[in-house]
Amino acid sequence: MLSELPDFEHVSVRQVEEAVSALRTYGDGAKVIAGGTDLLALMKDRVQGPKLPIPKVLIDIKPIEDMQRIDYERAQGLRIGAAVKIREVLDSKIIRKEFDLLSQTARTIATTQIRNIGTVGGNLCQKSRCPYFRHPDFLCHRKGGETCFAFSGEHKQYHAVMKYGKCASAHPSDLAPCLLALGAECVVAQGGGREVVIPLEKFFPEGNDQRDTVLRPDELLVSLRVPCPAEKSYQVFLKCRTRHSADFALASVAVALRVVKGVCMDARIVLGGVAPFPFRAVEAEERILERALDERLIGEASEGSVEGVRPLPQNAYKSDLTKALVNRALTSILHQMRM
Amino acid sequence: MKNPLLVQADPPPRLEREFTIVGKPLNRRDALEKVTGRAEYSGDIRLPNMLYGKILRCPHPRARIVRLNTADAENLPGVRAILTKENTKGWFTYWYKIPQIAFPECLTYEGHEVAAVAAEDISIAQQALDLIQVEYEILRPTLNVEAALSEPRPPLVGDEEYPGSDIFDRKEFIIRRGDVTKGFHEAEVVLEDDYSTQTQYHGTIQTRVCVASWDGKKLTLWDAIQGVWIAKETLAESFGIPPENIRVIVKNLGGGFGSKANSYRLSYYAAKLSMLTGRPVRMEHSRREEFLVHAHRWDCRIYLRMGARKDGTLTAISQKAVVNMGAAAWKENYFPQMIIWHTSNLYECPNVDLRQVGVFTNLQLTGPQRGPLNMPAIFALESHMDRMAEALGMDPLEFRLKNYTLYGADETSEAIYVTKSGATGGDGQSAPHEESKRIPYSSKKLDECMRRVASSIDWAKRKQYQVSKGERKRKGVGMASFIVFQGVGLPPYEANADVSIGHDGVIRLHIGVVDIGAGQQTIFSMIAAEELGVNLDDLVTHYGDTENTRYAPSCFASRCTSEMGPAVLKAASEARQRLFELAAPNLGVRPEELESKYGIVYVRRNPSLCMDFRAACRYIDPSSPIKGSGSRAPNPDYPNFATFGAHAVEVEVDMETGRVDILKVAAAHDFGKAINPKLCISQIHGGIEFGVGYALSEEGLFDSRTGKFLNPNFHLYQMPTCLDMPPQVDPILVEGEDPYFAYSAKGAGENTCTPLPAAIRNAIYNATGVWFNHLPITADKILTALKEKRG
Repeated sequence: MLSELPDFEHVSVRQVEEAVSALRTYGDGAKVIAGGTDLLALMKDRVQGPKLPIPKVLIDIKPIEDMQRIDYERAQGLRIGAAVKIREVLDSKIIRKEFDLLSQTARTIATTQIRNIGTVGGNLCQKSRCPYFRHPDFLCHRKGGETCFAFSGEHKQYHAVMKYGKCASAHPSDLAPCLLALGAECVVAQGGGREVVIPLEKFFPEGNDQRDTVLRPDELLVSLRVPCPAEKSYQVFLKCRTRHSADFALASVAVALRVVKGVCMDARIVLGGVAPFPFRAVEAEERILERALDERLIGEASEGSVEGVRPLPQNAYKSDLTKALVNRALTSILHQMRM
Repeated sequence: MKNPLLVQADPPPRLEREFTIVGKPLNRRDALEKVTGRAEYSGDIRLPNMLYGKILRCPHPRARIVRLNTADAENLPGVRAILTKENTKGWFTYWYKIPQIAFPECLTYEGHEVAAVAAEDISIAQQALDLIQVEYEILRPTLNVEAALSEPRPPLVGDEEYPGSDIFDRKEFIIRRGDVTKGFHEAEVVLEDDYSTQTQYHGTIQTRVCVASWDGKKLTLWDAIQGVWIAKETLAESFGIPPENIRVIVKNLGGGFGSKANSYRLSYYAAKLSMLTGRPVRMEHSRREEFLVHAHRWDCRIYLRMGARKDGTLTAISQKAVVNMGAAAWKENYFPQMIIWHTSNLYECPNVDLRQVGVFTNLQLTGPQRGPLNMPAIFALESHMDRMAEALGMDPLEFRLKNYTLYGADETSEAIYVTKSGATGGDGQSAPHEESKRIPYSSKKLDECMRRVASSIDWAKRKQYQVSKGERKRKGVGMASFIVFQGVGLPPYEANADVSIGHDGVIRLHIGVVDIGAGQQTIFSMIAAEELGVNLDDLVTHYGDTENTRYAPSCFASRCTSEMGPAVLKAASEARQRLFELAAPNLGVRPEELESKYGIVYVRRNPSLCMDFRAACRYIDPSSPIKGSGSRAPNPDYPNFATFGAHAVEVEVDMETGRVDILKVAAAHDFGKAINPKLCISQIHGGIEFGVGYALSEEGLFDSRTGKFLNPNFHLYQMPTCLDMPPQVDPILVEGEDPYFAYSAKGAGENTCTPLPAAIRNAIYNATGVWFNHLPITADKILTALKEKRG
């Protein structure tokens, strides 16, 4: 199957700095590769356009040890290297113990085989699942074209019902809503040894910016930092898909609540599969913030979660689906609290 | 009937002893090599000096080549040969027995072949494709079946451009029996509805692959094909060389399910490129190519109207089925009465008017896939049966049993005809309204299948589930039945088998069939070993090769066991008889007094008087091994041959997310006798996987404007994985006698998927109170329908 790939040069790097300088040297034609489960599929299908050249150089970041580690300290919280495999997130005892939302989410990502090679950074930086984007013959906005073919075409499964601009596709990542609910930050290397920290909330562009992330071509996502959850924190991730065993989300929800004496002091409710970026349902959060959770509030929060929804002809069902998931996630937290 | 086995010459005498091999759940003979990765597939073949081929494909569903320039590609170092319409004029490749222009000027589906390149390596071949310049005139494609039916045929449609279109395009095929007007008049309950089914893809593990080697006189192909013999014949035809100079080998297929029912262009191109270069050439479809150009299951729209008396007796059925045939259809790959045949034969109904019409479009190629048109036919029919049952206030099982019949139609007496210009013309010949005759099936145990699955699923739950409303998750049970004819006997019909026994005691079985993966080599070896009275390991089986075998049917339509079984049995019986003739004098008895089992030849009345089978072989002339041969004739007109089965399922539907979980499938099948129950049960599991995907997730998506295929990969085309299989499967083999087949064994593999989608749909109704008539039943459809229902 490798024979389907266009020719490329493979550059192996051992340091973050090396990777960034290689990105700078090779420019537009270079991409970093770790698991490659998304990148190689796009290359095989020759998905390309003015804004999406087929890479000529692949910079292999797997040898960078620092990017492969999961570190934890109570004070600093969790640090996950961007090249850590989804499988390793699942296997991590500390994640299972302290960051259960991550474990819950990782379990629902792709298949065993893909979890064994796909990485955390790759999951966050993956590209749209829109069939038009992934078809070599449709030059859409995301590839530098002038049209979104999905609006008047097929958009049942992987497209947005809210906050979309010129492109209808929804953000496909499961880890994005999960890490956003956990208040994660991205550590980004910029070359010259510089590192900047970007809150995950700012990592995904909004509106008509068709880039997948705010990363510039010569920047590299090095790791994720996740603060330790507060003592009384409740976390739930739920996801619906067409093929139950392995599929991208029709809709998903990640919820993290900090509860003090039965009152929600912090609430993060983040939706996946319904907007072009992981969507923080602030309306829903506000309904329950600083109040004692009960069934009525949960009902209100669920209704509020998709405030401003503008479904396309084939995907109106996602609105009810999302409300149901938010309702279930909060209800299961309420049950945990009462236990 | 004197010779129910339908073998040529005298039928073998029936074995008078208990089976020693047949009926045992043995491991398949290739199990170990397959699970250890040692099995060699055609894709694994690497020959010295081999070239690699790639195909340039048209990106448009309908276009004409205006200009084609290969000069740059030819000049690329490492390119050895390029085929296009310019240098292959007058050359035809074959799909089934039907000629296709090897490289046409007018292209009728996305992925249609434009050029083929052979180069020193695959990367050079790929680069060469990029250097071929093609200018297309893009033509307006026909994409919408219903719209096409009311439009005149496009001007460019011709026999050459759309082979078979003159026979099938917009032609209505009709089965008529009795008088439906009278039948509906007699009915006390009449109900009509529309159903639709989607395209489905095979998703074989090994894509189409071929290594072709031409030595100047002889052509050898390691191919991925379900029938080596038909491939050999059409290759000979295509290249104008004698068939005896062609050898086709398929040792392990890597999945077929109908997709490899016959050779495809790829193999012809590989052969031609090998002839041009004098070197072996390997070609392989990528997954995307496989999705694009392999014939998929037809998407269908089916209208059904049924009438019944209050007691549940069916009085009339009318039906109209519209089939999207894509860009090509021929007698061998399109079955113009198959949908309506099922409606005509599954239940007893005196008055039917059933119509099937196919429409040519530019939406790829269509063709057989596991239960080809059975799947859409049974989905609509068995869904409608449940609706009727409800309208009648009857239990669906009771309603089915009420209309049960041991007879099928006599097709020669039924009014089957074609209207000349299809639905719009309506100038069909008037039907001869003669009394139709009913012909019994050679065996039928569908009633037992239905009862067994109902009992396994605990059918009584149905009533309870019907009234329990309000929960977030609701359960339901449902069932469906099916029928499928057995043994096709399409020309060139031959089913031959040979057994030879040498002086050295080596027993060889020669069968020209491919093991599609269902275990054909194991099954035929078991039949031969049983009849010879030897152990299975004593047998060397030659299969999947045109060398040292005679013509055999391709492995599709569940025909292999039913057609080849009797031939193998006859060959083995004849060889054994010859050996007994040699052994008998040495035991001081007559040959007819001998028997054999477990590799021992003994005297029936005095088993202690015996010798080793191998020892008996020493009486064989070393220069002239014993030979036994068997051939089976095509099906007779009487009786009808068919297999049957029923599935019952229990589902759980999440009313808020639209998620459907299949909790249990009970699958009872009447295959006659199971030669190897383990393999039969494997087939049931595999069929269920197909049915689950068809019911709940699989669907080819096409852009409605351009007609381009949007999900030609396993990422966006959602085939179930093993983790999507129901947690509980109860496979039930309902066995019985049938003298027309080898040890009563009918075909088992194909239609184990057929009733499941309707059973799932009926169970979803039981849970939700909503009828879903359009496959696949996905979350969006469920949530939308439930919202509508709530108002």
